[in-house]
Amino acid sequence: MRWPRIALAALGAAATAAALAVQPPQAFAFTGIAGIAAFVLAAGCLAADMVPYRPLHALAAVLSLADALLLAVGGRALGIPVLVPAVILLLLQLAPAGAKWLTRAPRPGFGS
Amino acid sequence: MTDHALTPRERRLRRGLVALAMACAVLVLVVIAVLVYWRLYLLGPSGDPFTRGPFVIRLDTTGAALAWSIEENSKVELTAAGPDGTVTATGGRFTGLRPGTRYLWTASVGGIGRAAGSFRTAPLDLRDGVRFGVIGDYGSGNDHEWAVGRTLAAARPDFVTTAGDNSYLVGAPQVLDRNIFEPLHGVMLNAPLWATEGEHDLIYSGGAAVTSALHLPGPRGRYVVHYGPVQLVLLGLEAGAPELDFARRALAEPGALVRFVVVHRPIQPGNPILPVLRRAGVAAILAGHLHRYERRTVGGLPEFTVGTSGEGPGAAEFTKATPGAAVSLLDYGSLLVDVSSASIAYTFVDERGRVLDRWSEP
Repeated sequence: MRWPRIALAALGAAATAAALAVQPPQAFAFTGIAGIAAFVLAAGCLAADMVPYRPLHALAAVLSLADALLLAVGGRALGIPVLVPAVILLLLQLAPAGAKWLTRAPRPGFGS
Repeated sequence: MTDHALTPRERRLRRGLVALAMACAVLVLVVIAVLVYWRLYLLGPSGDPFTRGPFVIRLDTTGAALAWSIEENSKVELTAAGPDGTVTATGGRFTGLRPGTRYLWTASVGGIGRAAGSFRTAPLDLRDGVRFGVIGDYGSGNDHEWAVGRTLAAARPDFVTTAGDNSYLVGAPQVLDRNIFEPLHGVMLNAPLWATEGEHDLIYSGGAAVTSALHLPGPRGRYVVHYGPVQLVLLGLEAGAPELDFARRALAEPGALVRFVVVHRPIQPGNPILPVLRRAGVAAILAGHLHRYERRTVGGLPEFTVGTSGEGPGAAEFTKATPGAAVSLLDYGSLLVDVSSASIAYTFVDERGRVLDRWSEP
């Protein structure tokens, strides 16, 4: 995992915590700033995933870009609670590693 | 391929790409922020859908009517708020109103209030009084006319009558917005403009353009209107033989407690209409034509010349004071007439809001 993705995951976690702990509209101050920072980091993440090209990571970065915008506007673009884009931002950073773990090759010496 | 498999040059390339992408993202955010701020806080409201008005054209004891022009074929919803709640107009006309009551009207287009004003329905008697404004020779669209329009609007007259020459140099349809509707916008939101017509109006299609634009009740500025107990007999250009018959019939109408005659050219001593007006108990003659404000007595009747509401005096040799006038001024302004059951007060207010003449009659 590279540093922009780690930073994005941290932002996602912070935004999720803010959305849970702080009532709207005060929560929007935190999630808005997190969304703006996440948008910039997600762009950097996408660029990093191009060299070398890693399609799953790049897809997660693209989705993070859109999600960051949604987070920045407090979910109001789709009329959803701000907690949803915050959680999605966190999950999107974990998704490539999770997918890799799920599709890993069986270890030698185990199985039949 | 992992990071470790990249050459140092590829790593530098990747770092450069990351930095560039993040810089671009910042730029995008700045642009979005600027656009959103501009849209929400800098961009003005959408333009006025009305090309003219709405403006009050009729008022009586229980009804009112407004007129307007609108660019698109948009539906205009017209409501009035009064002591009994909200009244909705049909075809620009309110009915079933209370006499002597002020109503706040609003014209909405597409669910948004686009114009608002107020009017006071005509009272049944003079206990609460009636205030009206008089202007004349005003329709030049200059700063003086705008100034007179502002002071007149602030005085909140129940209606306004004009002594003619509503549009210079001619009363052509193309210049009426500039000369009448824009300078007097604030007045016409709240009071009907009952105009007679002078030479400059009549020179174009016999005054038909002014008559039509202002929705006047009669052609050539000759008609009768009632505002509750107040009757206005508007004669048009001058008080000649046809106007004498017209005035005789109009002044014989019952019901009015106070009557005024409005004519463009001042009535001169010896005019055969004067005994008719005097016998009918006309309170005053309101005239224009001479670009002065004058107060004088003609044939036993007070006559006010209000010819300085916008166009200005012009050459001195054509704007001489009338011999015998009690007051003769060149100042721009309008005349306010306050009619009550006890007296009739006349106040000439100049374009700077100063009272230059005051006179009352018990």
